Amino acid sequence: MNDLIKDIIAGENIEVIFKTVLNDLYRIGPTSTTDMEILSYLFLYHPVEFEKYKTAILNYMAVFYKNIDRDSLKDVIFGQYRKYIRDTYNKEYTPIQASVIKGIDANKCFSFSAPTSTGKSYVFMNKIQECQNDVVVVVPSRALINEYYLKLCDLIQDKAVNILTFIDKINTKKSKRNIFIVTPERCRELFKQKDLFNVELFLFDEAQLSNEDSKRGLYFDSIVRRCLKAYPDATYVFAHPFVKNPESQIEKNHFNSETSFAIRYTQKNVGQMFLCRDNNWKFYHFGIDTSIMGRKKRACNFDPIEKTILNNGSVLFYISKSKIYNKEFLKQFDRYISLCTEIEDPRINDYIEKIKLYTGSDTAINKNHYSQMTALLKRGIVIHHGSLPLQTRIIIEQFTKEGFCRICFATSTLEQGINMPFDVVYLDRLEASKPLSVKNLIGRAGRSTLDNKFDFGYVIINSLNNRTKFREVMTNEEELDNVSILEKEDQQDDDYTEFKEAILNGTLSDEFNLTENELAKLSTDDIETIAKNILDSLFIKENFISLDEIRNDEYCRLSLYSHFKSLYEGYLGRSLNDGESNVLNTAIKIIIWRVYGKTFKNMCWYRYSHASKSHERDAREKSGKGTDDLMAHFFTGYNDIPNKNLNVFSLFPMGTKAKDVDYDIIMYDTYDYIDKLIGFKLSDVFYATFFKYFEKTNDTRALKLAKYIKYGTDEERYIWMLRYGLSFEDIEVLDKHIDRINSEGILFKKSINDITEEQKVAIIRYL
Amino acid sequence: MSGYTIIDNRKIEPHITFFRVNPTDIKLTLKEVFVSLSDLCWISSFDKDYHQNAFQVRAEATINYIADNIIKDNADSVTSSSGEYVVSEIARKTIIQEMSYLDIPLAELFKIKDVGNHGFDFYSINGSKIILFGEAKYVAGQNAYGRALKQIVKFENEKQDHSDIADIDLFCCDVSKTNFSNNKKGFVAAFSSKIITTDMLVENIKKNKDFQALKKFEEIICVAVNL
Repeated sequence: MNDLIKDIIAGENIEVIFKTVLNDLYRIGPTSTTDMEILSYLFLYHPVEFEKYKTAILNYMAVFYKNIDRDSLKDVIFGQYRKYIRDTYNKEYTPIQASVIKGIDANKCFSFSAPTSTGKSYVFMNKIQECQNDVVVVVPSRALINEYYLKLCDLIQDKAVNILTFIDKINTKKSKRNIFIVTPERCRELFKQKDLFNVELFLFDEAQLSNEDSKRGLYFDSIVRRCLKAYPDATYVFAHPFVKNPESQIEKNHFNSETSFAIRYTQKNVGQMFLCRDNNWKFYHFGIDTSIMGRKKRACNFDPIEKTILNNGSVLFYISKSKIYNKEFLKQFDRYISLCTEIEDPRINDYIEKIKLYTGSDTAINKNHYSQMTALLKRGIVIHHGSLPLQTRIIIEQFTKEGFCRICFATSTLEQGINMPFDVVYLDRLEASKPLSVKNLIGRAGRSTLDNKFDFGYVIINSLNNRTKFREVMTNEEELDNVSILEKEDQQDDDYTEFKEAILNGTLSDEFNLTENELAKLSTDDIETIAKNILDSLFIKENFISLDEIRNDEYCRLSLYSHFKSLYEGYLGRSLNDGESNVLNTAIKIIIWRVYGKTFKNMCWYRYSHASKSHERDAREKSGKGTDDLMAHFFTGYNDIPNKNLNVFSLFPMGTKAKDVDYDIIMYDTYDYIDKLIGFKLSDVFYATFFKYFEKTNDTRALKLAKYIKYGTDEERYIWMLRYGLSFEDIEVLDKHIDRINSEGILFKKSINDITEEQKVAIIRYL
Repeated sequence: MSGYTIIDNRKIEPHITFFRVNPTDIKLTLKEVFVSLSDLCWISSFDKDYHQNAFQVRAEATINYIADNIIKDNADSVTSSSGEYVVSEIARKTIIQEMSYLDIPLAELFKIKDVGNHGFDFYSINGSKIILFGEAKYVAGQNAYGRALKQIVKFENEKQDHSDIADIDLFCCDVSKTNFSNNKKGFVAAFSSKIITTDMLVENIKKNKDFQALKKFEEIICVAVNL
């Protein structure tokens, strides 16, 4: 048995192969990639024989969520264990799921790693539901916050349980306990109010974040330690994907080893087979363990992608962001895109309408605001990446989970553990430098179903030459550091070092998310003068200057821009170059639009109108003139700042026609500004500046601006609504139906009963 | 406690032995097999707590249930799989006890990871260092010697014994392996038997064409287990 792919395809020694793999499965469980590979080949090429062994295979895999029969005494052994789990936990858990529950219940700190699709989230949900006191779930991204949020809201109907994506004490009259789902950054709010909460369980999901050699990694570890200090009696759970040493969390954060336990699960619920393709889109099987599966690639006589799409399966293409932005993917994968014709289903239209409403996009080609991303949904084609506005991402993830997605073109953001399995995962690029991410992505291949069948997926790489590299990624084990970066002597830039020292010395301000040093820089006389200048230029008496004035100032010549620039330069301690200045000006403009209550859609429209010269085009069209020779406006796209080497650049290259300005790009870019630059960097700096200024001078304009920067409003009523989880879009609809709102709860007017169920979603838990 | 009594032991020919066995405690035999199978299953090392505590109590109930089904001739697949283990194990023990042949555990229960392709159900080695390949058949409410003998002939034709040798290599001395390579080998047919006299059973076996075909080998043992 050293050339199994060939043997299985040729139908040689099939019974022996079945018996061998069954024996392995029985004795070591579904832990070997190769065994699962072999089963996938047997299932594909010998379905009739597979049927004979199916019951044994599913029993030995212990996929107890399926309705499996028992045919033999050996099957009975698994049946008996299944019954034991059911009797003990009252759920159809797999052995791994039961073990996770046991690990959590029996230890103060439980750390584990498990392959994708082991169903850990189902266990977590149940565990969170069972808790009697507060629970804090810490995840690395807002996308994951939303995933947890939606699942928990579905699962926990009891309105006495607050499910919140920020740490806050609200709804106190009705609520008995809280479930907080937060990023490490948002988790800091806990410590200011620690006596208000009785946290029973901390759940750190995707805890490999702690290994990130960055501020976030530092911050993650610091949050873990602060949680432990504030709540020494709580239970701590760390979950990771494929890492080899989950015990590292226990060691690096100094948990008591006697009450801690770590385990690495390697059992899989689905099989996978691996293919590569040549330049003519011919596919070839290859194995991971060449000594068993064979050294040579073996021709696959069908196109697995085409077959999957035609069988109503789903395919994930992992591609670069640039291919999405420059639309190259449309050409490269046209053979598959063309298989997806429009789907007639009113639910799809509902999803599209939701996206259109939020993003202001249109699906009619050749019209302003045409979004190909939105239009493709009609054909079951999804585009997913980190610059997709969060609201849109949530909608398309629901779209995918509802089974409408046939093809998903995604960049690495899917890696962050969003639970979206596919029948095929195609890797258009293989980033061997990020093995954990690639493994996570590969883990998305193969959907585990409740059907009484063996589930498997295809993983396809884009070239015949990448097989060795791919095998290395699959076989190399990922190890986390056993020493926290908080305790390591490493040389990084000053910014990082200052941040690290602040964490170690406890001088990182929870209120402002800035170091003592940074806060000191924002409280100097010079900065205060600049702050006053900003306020004077932005306010006429107590009111903001008119929106028209901002809108008519296309080139950011108003003095407020130069003042903000001075402020940021003061914070950085150096001058900004022209490229950085352009980016900052655009960010300031977006902040100001938010101050004026402009929604995401409005901002995209403004920016699109500017870039595509829509007014000029309209005027030309009305007068019967062509617009072909009209070029797009210079348009500063998002770029991370500070960056000394950033040149002045336009998002749309020279020669782009005004009418060809892509609305999707405008959407992604606007979201990048809001999310990555304003959300992660600028708002902390500006909020602290104006809040500190208010404290010193009692200038209420400064407090007003600080609140606008932090919340997007200075109205207490709206701030309460935001604290209850409503978005500005929700507030637009719900404000008039709310009588009173405060920390105790929301008192609704009777008219709340007149709105649609869809409109009630944001407040349903408080009704 | 062996869980069975040997009620007949006769020579059909000098190199052919016939045993008839009465199980006195199917549950005991079944439990031994069940516990051994469980020990080998990944669950037992995965959840040691279950294996050490909850398993025993639950196993009692499971075994009682299956044993009752065997007694009642309920012909479902679990019963027949379990019945086959009982027949194998009783036959295996019989020849060890009565003939002092080598004790090799049931093939399913070898603790060696790579064993998995075996065809025969059990093995032994006689005093003349001849390897015996055993095949067990259980059919609810019927005499199953025909199926056992047929399977042996089939395996022999397919040279299954040759590939099985690799699995049991650990138990075989050099002489036995040399004998085997010189085509000196024997077979054990173990089967469930029902209300029929031993004389009639032996007569029927003698007439069986597969039995005739196997007579040429060094040693043949038939073990009828009354189930």
